[in-house]
Amino acid sequence: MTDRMQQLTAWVLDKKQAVWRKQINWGLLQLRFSDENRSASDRITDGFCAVLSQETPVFLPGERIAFTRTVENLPEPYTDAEMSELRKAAFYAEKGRVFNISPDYASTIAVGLDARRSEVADRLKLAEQENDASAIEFLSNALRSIDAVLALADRYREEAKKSGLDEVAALLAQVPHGPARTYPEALQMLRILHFCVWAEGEYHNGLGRFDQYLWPYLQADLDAGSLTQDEALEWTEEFFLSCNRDSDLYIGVQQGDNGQSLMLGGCDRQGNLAYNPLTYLCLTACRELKLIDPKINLRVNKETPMEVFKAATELTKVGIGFPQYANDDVVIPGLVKLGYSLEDARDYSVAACWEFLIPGCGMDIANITGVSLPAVVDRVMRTSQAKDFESFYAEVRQQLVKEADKICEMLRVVKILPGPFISLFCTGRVQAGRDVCEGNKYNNFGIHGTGFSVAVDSLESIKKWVFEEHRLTLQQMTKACDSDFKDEEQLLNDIRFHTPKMGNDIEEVDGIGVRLLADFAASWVGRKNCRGGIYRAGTGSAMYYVWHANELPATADGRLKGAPFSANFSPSLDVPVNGPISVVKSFTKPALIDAVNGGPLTMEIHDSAFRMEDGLEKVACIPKFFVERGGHQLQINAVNRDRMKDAQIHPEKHRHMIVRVWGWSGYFVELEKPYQDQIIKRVEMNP
Amino acid sequence: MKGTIFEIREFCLQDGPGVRTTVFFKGCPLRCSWCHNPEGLSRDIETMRGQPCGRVVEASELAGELHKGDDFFQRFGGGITFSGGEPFAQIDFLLELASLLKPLHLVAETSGFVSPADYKRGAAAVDILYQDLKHWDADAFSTHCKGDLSLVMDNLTWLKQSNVPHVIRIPLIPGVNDLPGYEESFVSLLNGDKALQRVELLPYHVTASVKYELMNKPYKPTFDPSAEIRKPDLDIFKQHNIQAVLA
Repeated sequence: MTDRMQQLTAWVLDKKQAVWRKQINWGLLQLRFSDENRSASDRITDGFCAVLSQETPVFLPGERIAFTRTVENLPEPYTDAEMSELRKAAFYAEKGRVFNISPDYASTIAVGLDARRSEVADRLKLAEQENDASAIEFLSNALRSIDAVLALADRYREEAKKSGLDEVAALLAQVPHGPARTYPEALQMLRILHFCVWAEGEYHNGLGRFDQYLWPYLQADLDAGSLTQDEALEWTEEFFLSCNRDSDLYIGVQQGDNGQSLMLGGCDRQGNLAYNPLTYLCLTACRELKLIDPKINLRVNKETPMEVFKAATELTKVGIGFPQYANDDVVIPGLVKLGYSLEDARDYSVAACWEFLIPGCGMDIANITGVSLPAVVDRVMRTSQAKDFESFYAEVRQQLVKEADKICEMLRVVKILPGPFISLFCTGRVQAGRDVCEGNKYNNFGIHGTGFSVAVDSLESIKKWVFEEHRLTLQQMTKACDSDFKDEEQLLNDIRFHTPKMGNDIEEVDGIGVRLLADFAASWVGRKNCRGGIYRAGTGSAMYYVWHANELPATADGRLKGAPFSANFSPSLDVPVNGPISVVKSFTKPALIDAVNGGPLTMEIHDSAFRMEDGLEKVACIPKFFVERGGHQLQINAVNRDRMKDAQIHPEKHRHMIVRVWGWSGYFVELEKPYQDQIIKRVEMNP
Repeated sequence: MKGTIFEIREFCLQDGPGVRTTVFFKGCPLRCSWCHNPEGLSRDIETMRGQPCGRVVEASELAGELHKGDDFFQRFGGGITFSGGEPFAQIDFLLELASLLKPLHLVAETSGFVSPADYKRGAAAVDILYQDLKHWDADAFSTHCKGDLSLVMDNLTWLKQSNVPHVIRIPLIPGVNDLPGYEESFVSLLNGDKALQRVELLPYHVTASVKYELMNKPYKPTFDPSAEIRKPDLDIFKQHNIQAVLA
């Protein structure tokens, strides 16, 4: 890393840019919203324009890619009271905004905002002729939004000029008005658009297939000799760093959960391998910076060269939880099976964490809710009169269908608040004259199946101890769970240590996993959602591994009350496993083609492994093996338990230590303790 | 036949070529005071972290479990390593297991503190032998390891003139065997070694005590665990045409 980048990085890590931030009192604006009974679209655009007009152009010392947030708080389009009123009439996911999608920034980078402005203005004229009120509202607001962005960009340019920042001023003289012609211009343009989408109030905004849509710009610069490889790396690093300037304002469930994910590699829309020099530059940039944003995802498949796995493992080695692998060979056919076109499917990226979706045309709500699989097993355990395991399992299957029915009932009317600005980056919305909140090409709902391995292990425990060994009845097992296995020490011991568990390549229990995932997925097949889409089952847990776990007493797998589930699609926390080969084998047995809402197998490898001779090449075999076995998504962490333990005691010494949480990485010391403990426990079970 | 093991651990990167799955045999005739695997000392089933530690298993059953890794080994190389404890202390079990595992690549790690007959049978059953060398001095060996060095030396003498490919492993224990000129002392033991691949020097690590706590066993090192280890001069090995690496 260059000295300049090191200084800039230190600056951002110390959050020095925060001194420019100001809190704005949006009270008057919000009052006007209700007094004037402004429409949702108008409120959001009013707010967006107000935020941008309040922005002050600032420049970090030595930076070349501008745009840093100075307005700390955004205006809410609706008060809490108004929002709860809206929620009575419809289901709004999370904050009700457009979120968790991957905008198509590339098309706008290629033409510039002036051209987009003309396109919107022309379409608006047509809408006015047709008297299409919705289109008029959306397009007028989109136009206002573009003007606000251009005005801020102009102020930035003037300020840069005034401050003698010629390089910044030169970039801003071309973009965002005009099309990007060079890699630096493309990065500056991307920064502006991405920054503004956040400022509109959308969140968990992805960056899509970064190495695909920016490579042509970089290639031209390299060919022309206007950039060297080293300079290209430095520009890439500066862009990555820019994603960390404001990210502490982008708070999700925990600090770091902000969804700035980007996808590398894979194949193109025609199915050809699509790794390019920028793929490798991005892996290097992330490795050198060691920051939590952007979150690096890497598409791989059977044809992926070993050098890609090695470069990726170099990144894994630094211990920040990147990259997360996605397997084209499973994801693409899985998406096609759900009705995505083959070309679109080949173009997949991820939403905030792991949910596969198509940049630009995907308006899926990929994490609309989840089914707690252990709760399903628990419910059946409490009520079943089954005499054998098959009858018991049949009831589990029925219960899964009931859960799906219940969720569909809850999701009969699902609405999203408008996003006139983000709609500009959603394929075909301007031409359709419709805000993306009304839908796009793909409008599917994703359903997480949480606590998968706890459910599978519980089923195996019930099968063995209740139906095979007849050691106790379902009622007695329920009682044991309710008492947190108090006075049942021997039973707990036998359940824990003498019952097969998923993750050790044991057919008996893995077979239950295969069935459970298939039946969970099947419970959603054929259902249509209220937005013209379908439902997609997944193996993610998101924050539910803590939430859903807290809703349950002890479970039949010997998990005690209060203990979390494992995150996503991974062995239960208390289960000793032989190692990564067995874990990969167990967790690639289920038909993951039917679980392409995503959710990775998470695996911990002690960081010493990477330091050994050939360690890197050996670790790289794991993702390759995973891909060849038909896994869908994998995330490997290089971990060191002692370091984390020490960080709990001396947080000040480990301020910059990064760990993987669920679909994202965060600063360990900024996580709440239950999340810290879960990660430590995860590590302890994998020696 | 049945044997006793205490762990199967996949993805061991230091126990032989490629990615290894290591089987830890339970029970060892030596009592090296720095031992990292106290759960491998006794043949009995014990308790560690409140969990049962140790398992009696049929060779055929264990071979079946280990064969599950075949597809990985065929694809990426590597194989099975027998460690412990002292794997040659259960030689008949080991031989049956090895015959059931072939043609997988096999490695055994031994202290050499077993009868010459068992040693030769064990050495013949694996592709590479990892032979521990803890000391050159019989008194020191007896003090720190509670064993008779001559037995190890007899086996080493045989190994040196055999065609069994092998690696010599030297644990570097502060104050025990890192004495001035220790490199020469070890080198002199390896004169005329025909099938030696290399020497690996493994510095003692203070985390050895952790497992003793988990087993509620006292950790009584016969040396000062916090003392600094005298860094080996690898050139001395090189001068004798021995490749040496520091782990």
